Amino acid sequence: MRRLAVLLGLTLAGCVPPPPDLAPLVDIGARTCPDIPSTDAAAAAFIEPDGKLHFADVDGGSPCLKTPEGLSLYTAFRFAPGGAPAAVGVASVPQGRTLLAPRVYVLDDAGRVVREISADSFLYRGGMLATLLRLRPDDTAIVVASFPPAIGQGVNRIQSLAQATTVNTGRGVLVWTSGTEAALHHTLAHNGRVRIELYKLPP
Amino acid sequence: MVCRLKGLTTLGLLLLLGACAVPVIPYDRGATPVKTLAVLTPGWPTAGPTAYLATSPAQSFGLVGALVGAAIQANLDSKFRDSIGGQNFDGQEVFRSRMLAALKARGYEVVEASARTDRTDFVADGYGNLAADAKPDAYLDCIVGRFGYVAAGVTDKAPYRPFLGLRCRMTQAGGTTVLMRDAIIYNPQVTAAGFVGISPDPAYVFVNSDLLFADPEKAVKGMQDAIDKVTDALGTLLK
Repeated sequence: MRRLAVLLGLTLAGCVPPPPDLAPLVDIGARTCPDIPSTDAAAAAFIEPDGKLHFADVDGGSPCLKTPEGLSLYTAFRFAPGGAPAAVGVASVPQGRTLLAPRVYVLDDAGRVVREISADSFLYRGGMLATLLRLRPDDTAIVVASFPPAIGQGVNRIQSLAQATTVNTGRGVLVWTSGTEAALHHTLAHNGRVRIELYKLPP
Repeated sequence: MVCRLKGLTTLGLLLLLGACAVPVIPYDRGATPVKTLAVLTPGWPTAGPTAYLATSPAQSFGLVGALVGAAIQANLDSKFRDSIGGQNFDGQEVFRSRMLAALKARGYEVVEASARTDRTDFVADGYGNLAADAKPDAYLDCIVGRFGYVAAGVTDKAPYRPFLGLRCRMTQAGGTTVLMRDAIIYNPQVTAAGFVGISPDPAYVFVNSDLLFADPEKAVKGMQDAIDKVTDALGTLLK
């Protein structure tokens, strides 16, 4: 019970410092961008299906992409094709007032886009804008790109939080519970932080 | 994404997520298309809607505090159910019909399969013996864990807002292959990546329980909003 209480306290009481604020990038400006994303070794990190979390920042220096909806910034990840059934969790992580407006392209070994995960497939998970997709045998790369039509839009959310604070009295641990809520506002932008997780699925 | 909050369920804050220690399984409709979907009668909390107080000072005082807290909770739930009794609102039926509509809107041919509504977990012994109007490609088994209103605490900074927790699993017919498994919570009280969290509509807020009990019409509209948005999100997960 004590261990649970400490875990609860650490998880819910806000011990993790908030991320630094980031100004939303809503205008990429005039850039010449290819219409095919690059997923070569220099541009894309290689990830394993081990359930570890990987992060990448998308900013003004990130590679750009010409899409039918406008210019977009992106980051890419590669992984080994085939193998055991696996899924990818992709999330846009708030950075202060900024939240990257995400969409995902899935590429095959030849670098062709074989699937697009549209922006409306993203839902909030753990305060992040996230989607999950099951990988197919020929999938070899994921591109997380900003979605131009959503750039500049504001998002308002309410986050309730039940908290537990643990106090060591010397003769035991006292758990004090309380609750509060916060109003959150984010601007969807070309920039932000991307979290990706590749994990195995039951066969 | 793997839910890493299994231990917290024992403290009562995540009762509706009792099975969240397993990884989320996303559905790939392109790879395994389902045309005819048998939807089980959703599991539903037998006690009815709640006015749940997620935390209270009583919880800090051991067994005696737990007993006091349980009594306070029972009183809140009773008053809430009495207050909305005249609204002719059948949350279970509204949820069922809204879920079916959301699935049909995503292009599924939906047939209903009868199942016990008082179950608190997915059907364990397969779906082959369930009666359905047509031979389905897959079964969708969904359970609403808690439903009603929740306040994160007892102060004005933690008002009552609508609340609904749903877990679903879609299993391929004729086997045990799980095509999708996920959870959705309207107005979650914690942040975790193991479930979809829907922000509550700011229109449906009550600073305290007395104000909640005093406006049953608005209270019911808030619960309707929770049902609509959770079933919409389910449609998104299965699109």
